[in-house]
Amino acid sequence: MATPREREAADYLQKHKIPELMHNLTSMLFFHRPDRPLEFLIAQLEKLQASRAGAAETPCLFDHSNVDAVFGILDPTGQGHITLVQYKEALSTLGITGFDEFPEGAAADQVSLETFRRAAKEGLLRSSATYKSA
Amino acid sequence: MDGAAERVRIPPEMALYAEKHEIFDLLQCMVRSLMVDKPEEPIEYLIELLSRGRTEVPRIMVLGPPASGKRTIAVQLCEHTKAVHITASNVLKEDTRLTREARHLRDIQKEIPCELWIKLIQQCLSKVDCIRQGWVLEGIPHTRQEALLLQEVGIFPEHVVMLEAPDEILIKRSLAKRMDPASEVDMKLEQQQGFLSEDDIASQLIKYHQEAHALQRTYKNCLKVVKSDQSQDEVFAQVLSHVQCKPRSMAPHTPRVLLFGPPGSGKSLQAALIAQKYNLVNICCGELLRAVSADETSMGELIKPYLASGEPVPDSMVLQIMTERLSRLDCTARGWVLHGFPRDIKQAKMLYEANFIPSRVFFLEVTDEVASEVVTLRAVDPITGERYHSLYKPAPSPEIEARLQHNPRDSEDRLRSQLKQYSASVPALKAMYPGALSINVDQDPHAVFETLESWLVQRVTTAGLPGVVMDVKEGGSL
Repeated sequence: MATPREREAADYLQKHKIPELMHNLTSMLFFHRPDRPLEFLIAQLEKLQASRAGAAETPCLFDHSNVDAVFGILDPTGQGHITLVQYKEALSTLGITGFDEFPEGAAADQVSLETFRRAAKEGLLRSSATYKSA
Repeated sequence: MDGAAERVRIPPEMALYAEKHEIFDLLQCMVRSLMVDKPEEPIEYLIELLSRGRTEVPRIMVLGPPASGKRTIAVQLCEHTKAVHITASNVLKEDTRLTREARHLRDIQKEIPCELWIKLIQQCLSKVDCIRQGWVLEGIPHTRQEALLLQEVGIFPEHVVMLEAPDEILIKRSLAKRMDPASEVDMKLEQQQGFLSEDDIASQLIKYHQEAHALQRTYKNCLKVVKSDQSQDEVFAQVLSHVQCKPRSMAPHTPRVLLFGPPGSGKSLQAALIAQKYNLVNICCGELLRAVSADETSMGELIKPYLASGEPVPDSMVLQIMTERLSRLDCTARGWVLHGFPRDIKQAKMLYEANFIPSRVFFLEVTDEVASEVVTLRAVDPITGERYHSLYKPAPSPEIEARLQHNPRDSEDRLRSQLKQYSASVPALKAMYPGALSINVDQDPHAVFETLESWLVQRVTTAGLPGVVMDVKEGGSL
């Protein structure tokens, strides 16, 4: 269906995770709305460069406090755990795909804050590491 | 999930930010460059690209038949834009393996194959000065095949100028030039053409015409055909104005229209026409308030007494309702046309502070006499809902005539006070929206709509250019 050039282009995009990269950059841009978008984008890209070299954290729109806040919303009474459905919904709201469908405590339908945090952190790392996987 | 999507709100600041900084075009440019160059290290590549800055460099092609004055125009353009001038002969002047090959072929009177030729051009254009300053290609490409190959390697112009002149003039010109090798520019023609007879020139022209049409089609998006059989200055002025106009941005644009006008000026009608044609959300302040009060919400209960007594609803409540309505997804995605609000400068400022900044503002103007004629004589048929006017649209039968109802709000006294209020607030509002257009609406409604529309469309195409941006800034400086 696709011409070789089209396929080549699609392969390139996929290999280097360009759509994810652009997606993340756009989100950051609109969230922070910096006065000098060019400089801001360069700074973000440089952070990404550093994180690939393993020298820094990957730049990401959500941090630990956001993850905890999401958990807090789902667990207003402070039980310390949420249901499996909530867990899945919360992770996909954070824009994470490909997470562990059956985390610890799934059988009892009780996912603890710890497990949720770990899954969210891994997922966020994965989605913000928008460069060619080594 | 649908329930959540319904509640998604995109803050108006985001759209304003994107518009102000042309984020769409920036990201488009990033992705486009990535796709053309497919660098191995996209992140480093993007950093390099972004640090080059936003200055768009000219990428221009000047095409035309022999002796149509391409060289003169190209030289002038380069002087003006500081771009690099590239002609067929200076592509060959480089000294690389490829050019040597090409020159060799030329020396033995063979044609240079298209692929090689394109590689040469590509090599030429990828030099630092061409990337930084832009380029003007003169007489390249010759053929549709060349044009397509150029496109394939990712070389596409931002503007194409095609010169055109009747054949007789071109033949006369090339003959005359050959006889008068006065300036350097003409020397080149002499060298190239040697001693061509009229027939040779004619055959060159025929060859050109065979390709010209296909080239026009290839570049139809950014093409401008200029008649070159007029004065030099005139030709250049036309070319320059084309080259300086920015290509239309593909960025999604949501028009935000504000209509002002006294009662009876046809705001509702014009708003409905605009909303229908451009699929905008039509928001009439009065209707919105009545709709809210009909809802069993706390806000509805709050404003109900005001509406019942005919007192104006307090600004803070109106603004709250407006903000809620304007930030719904349909308004963000499709744009809106608002009328009946703001009524005075205070409300206008509040709207501005809530970050709802109109991109078009119109004042519908009508004399008090006409307004009162329109308002006081109008009536509605309670059975069909059709509206009639005793002068302009009388009821078709006595039967309908008998059952027509006048809206008690359309009384002469009420209207007079409304008109007075309106005319008192107009000067300040006009000062707040200096880019607004005032239209006399004492004419056919569709003629009014045409005027509105021409402004609506014309300025949509120039979105991001000073006209619109200035509105925002001047509004902000208040």
